[in-house]
Amino acid sequence: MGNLIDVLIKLSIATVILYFVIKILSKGFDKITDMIVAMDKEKNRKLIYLIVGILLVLPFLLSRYPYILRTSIMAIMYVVLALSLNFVLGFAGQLSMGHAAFYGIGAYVTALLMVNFNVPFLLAFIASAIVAGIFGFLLGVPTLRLKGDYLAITTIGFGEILRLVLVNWVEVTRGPAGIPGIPSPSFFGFTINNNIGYYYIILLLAFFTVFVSNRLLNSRLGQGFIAVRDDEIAAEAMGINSTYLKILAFVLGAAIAGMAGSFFATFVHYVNPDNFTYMESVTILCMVVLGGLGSIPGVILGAIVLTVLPEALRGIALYRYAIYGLLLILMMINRPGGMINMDRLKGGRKDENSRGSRSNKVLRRSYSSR
Amino acid sequence: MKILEAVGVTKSFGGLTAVDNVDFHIEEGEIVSIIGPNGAGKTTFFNLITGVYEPTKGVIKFLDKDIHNLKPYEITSRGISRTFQNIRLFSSMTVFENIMIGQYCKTKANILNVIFKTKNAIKEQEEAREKVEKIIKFLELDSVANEIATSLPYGVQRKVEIGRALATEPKLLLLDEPAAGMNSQEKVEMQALIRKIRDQGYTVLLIEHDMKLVMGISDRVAVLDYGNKIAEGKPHEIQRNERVISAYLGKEVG
Repeated sequence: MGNLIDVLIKLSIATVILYFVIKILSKGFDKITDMIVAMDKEKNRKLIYLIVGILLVLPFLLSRYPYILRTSIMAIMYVVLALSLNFVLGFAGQLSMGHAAFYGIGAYVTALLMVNFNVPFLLAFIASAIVAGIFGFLLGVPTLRLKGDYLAITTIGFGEILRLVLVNWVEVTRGPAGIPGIPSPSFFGFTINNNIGYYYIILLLAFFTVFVSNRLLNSRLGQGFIAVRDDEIAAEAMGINSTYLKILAFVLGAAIAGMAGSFFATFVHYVNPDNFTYMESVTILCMVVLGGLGSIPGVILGAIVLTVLPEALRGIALYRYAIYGLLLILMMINRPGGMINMDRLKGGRKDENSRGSRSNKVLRRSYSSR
Repeated sequence: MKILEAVGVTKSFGGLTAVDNVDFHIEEGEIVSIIGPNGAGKTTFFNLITGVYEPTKGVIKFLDKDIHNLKPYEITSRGISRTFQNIRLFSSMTVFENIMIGQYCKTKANILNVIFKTKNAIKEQEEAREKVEKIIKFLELDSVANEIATSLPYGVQRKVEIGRALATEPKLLLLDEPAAGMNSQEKVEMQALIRKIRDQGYTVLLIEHDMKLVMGISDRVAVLDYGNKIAEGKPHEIQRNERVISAYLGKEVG
């Protein structure tokens, strides 16, 4: 009993402290958002070069800290996964809660092809993307008429079915034992056998995903997604085939999640059904929502924070997940729009008088050739 | 030339016949209004034209082609565009972006064009933006172009919706109660705007409750009551029509 009271007191204190920490952080996020809005194209480009530069030399700086390097790789992989869910959830507004299924499909396709048939990594990688994309299509078509909660339940069902298939189809997937011994990827005779190599592979995939997200968001198709998300009836009345766009979002999101899965399989050399549970889907969902639905910088930040945070909190072992959960709750109460809110990126904050003064820059940027 | 023709159009919801055997047409370049008491079937008729509902019976032709079995987005790309009775702007978009969505069906870039940013994709995007800028200038929305559309006053939002509809480059523009909730000054401006739009070469079909606006602007008025078309003609004819008066005011018994 005394123990329980002790825990409760500690958690209450933590809640209060975290509340103020988030208040302060929230100001910081606003500053960052405003900075992104205020930047012109030239500065924006410079900042991107700077970030890319840092990311490129990072593994050499971290060569003495293998644990941090490994965490970085996982963080970047979750950036890819969160951005892939962002196509479905952030752009097209479809609440999909079974995203880990596509990630799992990608991982198992690569694992099976490489272990059983000695297929080279690149081919297995492409096959993973295609197979996951096909499943995205197969899930997208029947669920088109569903919205919100109903779609969420259906996609949870899909995720569970996949997991059960992985567990029970023992002849192919080896069931709960999983598939060990997945070889390292090799390109033209070079075999990737250290974490620096893996780091660059996943970084490349992350660049590719950010690039596709960005091009898409600033195109007619991306704006079409947002229109469907905001008001499907109005979107249809404006000549947008919402059926096509929703399926496209599902296929794209699934294919990229499949690529991440393919990477994961070769990175850990072992896959089993426990890697692709409902909890995994929820974690990815949290990254997108916490970061800011539909906002590319937000989702990236969300994925990094939610991967690094549980690792950073290892120091307070016992309270780790309690603090993690508290942070999520307080964050959502404080900033329901996520860390870097997409609407705010456009200068659409309601409590500010100077809304109109944000010049054409924002708008031009959101459409122009970046 | 008949731009739109409806023959014997009927729409039933279970036992209720919302639109009953209506014949109707619009000539090119006209402003035509549909009026009628609440629940007369005006908006249902709009929804039939724009493909939200499929008629139970009857034919709707646009530019001599059947459209009653097409989807809303297909009808829009053929050249019919609409606004909504309850404004339906895209809430996370600026005014510019909202109107830009109207150009969606006029551009063609597919997913690969977009990712690789082909010349054609850039060019059509550029052209679309120029067209949208013209529309913004035409509607005098320059000063609010970068505002989030739904944060603007009601009257401005209506204009943005009209702009969005114009951006689909329609031949026929359907306005569903464009003056609802406006004060008399705004109504006068709306009337001037609709006329200005017609003078640009658009054909306009209007649903409106405000009689002053309807009578002041329409070339022709059709009256619906309980789903039936009870009268059609020039505004002054409608004002004197017995059936219309009784539909609106009720009939004396005995």
